[in-house]
Amino acid sequence: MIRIRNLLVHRGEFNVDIQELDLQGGRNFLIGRNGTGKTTILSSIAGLIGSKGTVEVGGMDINSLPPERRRVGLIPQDLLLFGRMSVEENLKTSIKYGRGDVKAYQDIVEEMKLGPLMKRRANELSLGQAQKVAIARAIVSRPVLLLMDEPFSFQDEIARLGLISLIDELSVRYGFEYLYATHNPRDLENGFSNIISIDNGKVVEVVDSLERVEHFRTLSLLEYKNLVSMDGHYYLLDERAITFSDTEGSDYAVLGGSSGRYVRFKVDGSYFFASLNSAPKGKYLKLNLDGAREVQY
Amino acid sequence: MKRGTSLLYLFVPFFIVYLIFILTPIFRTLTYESFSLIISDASSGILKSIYYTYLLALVVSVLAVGFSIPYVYFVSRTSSPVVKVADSLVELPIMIPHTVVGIMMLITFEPSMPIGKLISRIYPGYQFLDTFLAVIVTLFFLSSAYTIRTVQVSYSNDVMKYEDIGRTLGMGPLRSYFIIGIPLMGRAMLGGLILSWARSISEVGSLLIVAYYILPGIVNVAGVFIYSQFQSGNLPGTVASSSILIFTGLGALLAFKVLEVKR
Repeated sequence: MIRIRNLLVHRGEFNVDIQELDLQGGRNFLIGRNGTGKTTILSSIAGLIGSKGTVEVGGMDINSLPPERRRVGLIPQDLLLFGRMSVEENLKTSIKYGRGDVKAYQDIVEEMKLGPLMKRRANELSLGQAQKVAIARAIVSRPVLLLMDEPFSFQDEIARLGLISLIDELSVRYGFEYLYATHNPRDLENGFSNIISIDNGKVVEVVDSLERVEHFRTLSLLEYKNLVSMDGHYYLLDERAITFSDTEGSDYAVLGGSSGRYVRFKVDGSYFFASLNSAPKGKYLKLNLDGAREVQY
Repeated sequence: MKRGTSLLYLFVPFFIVYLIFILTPIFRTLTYESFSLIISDASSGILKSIYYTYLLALVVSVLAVGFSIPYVYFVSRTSSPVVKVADSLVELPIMIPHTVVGIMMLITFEPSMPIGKLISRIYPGYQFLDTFLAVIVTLFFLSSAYTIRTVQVSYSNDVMKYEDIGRTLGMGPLRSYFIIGIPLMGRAMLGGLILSWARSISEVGSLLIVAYYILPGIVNVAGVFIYSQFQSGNLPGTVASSSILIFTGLGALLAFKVLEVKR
């Protein structure tokens, strides 16, 4: 369990301020647009940047501990393998100098089929190989919490979901929780314990299922269709909210193929998108907000 | 035509003009005197002078690299605005006229001056003027900034984040810096060493004041040696010595570059 209270981080003009955050369950996804504070939050939990407040992992407040004593692993977006070292040396770093586990090292090398790579220098690996080595290196150090900052974002969909599945499996076997920062909703498709939505350094909401999402900012990260903002209000549209007329309404364009048809329309100078079950009948699109669910920003 | 090619054509004259500007005086110097005169000038004492100059410049640049190791860690890992302001003073020696630097060194470290007096109390027999020490201290003052900045840029832009990962893997700060950080800064250290070394070799102004002669009392550093040749009205000898200095400098720089590429 991760428990955060009054976490304050200052990075120049930008601040992270998390008053209260409780995460039950080990598969946690931190979602937010670029520049909203995801990396800052992960770095502060890892102890790499100074912060005030309480960060409890497994019942222990780690926020006053140096990074090497927190048992918090980190896989950054650029992986940061030690390029001049061999794969073997990378994996054994935590065994030689930290709290790494030889048994875990042997199991992981075999399980992830890393044997043929062991003598190669880390800067000679392909992206996919480097990502696997970064996962292995972090897990050999036996963290209780593994932080990941979009480490697989340069991979295609299948490879990315495969790597997240691997993390899932290893988290059960080696008993660690994880917090995975992403701005790609497809990363959630393997399932999750919590989604933590972040904006401007603050938690927008924490949900344990997609049905519980209440905020426009979270919804817009998860799905770009059927959301609209008008006059400072935010709406989630359904079929009844969209009608067509030959006499009044907004211009629209039909996009997508026959399987995924949706329309693009303009409201208050901004474009929005809505999915349709049937072909539109009429020259103009009309919004009937009586049939829409108003959500919080 | 490829995109951007027209811009290449537009800018290529600037590249050529700049190269010509740099290479013309070098070419003129190397061809001013006959090759036989250059060879015979080798017995004028310039080779001994170059030997001492290169050696002292190497000592200074190695010291600068050694000093940069704790310095860049402290400055990059400290967020205090006072430290940041103090760090900006590192470039100050580069901006001061070099004869002024010579005078500054003289009135600071000569045994008759307050700090010099203090040093002579700790080390009886301490001398400053016309010593190796004067050359090393003065050149360190003038050239260490090049090494420190080169290493610092590498550390804060690239290396720190690797070192941080080392800490999440259980390494303490000292281990992480020495095992992960410093090896990653190797190329920057070598680059900084070359810059400080080259800068030290080219120094004349301050050394005319603090070390016209260096131990064993009859040897000048190369720049001073060539200046004294010029002062005595021996232009052919001056140019021949300059040619030898340029040749050896090119050779040394080439050797450093090969080392850098190999890394």
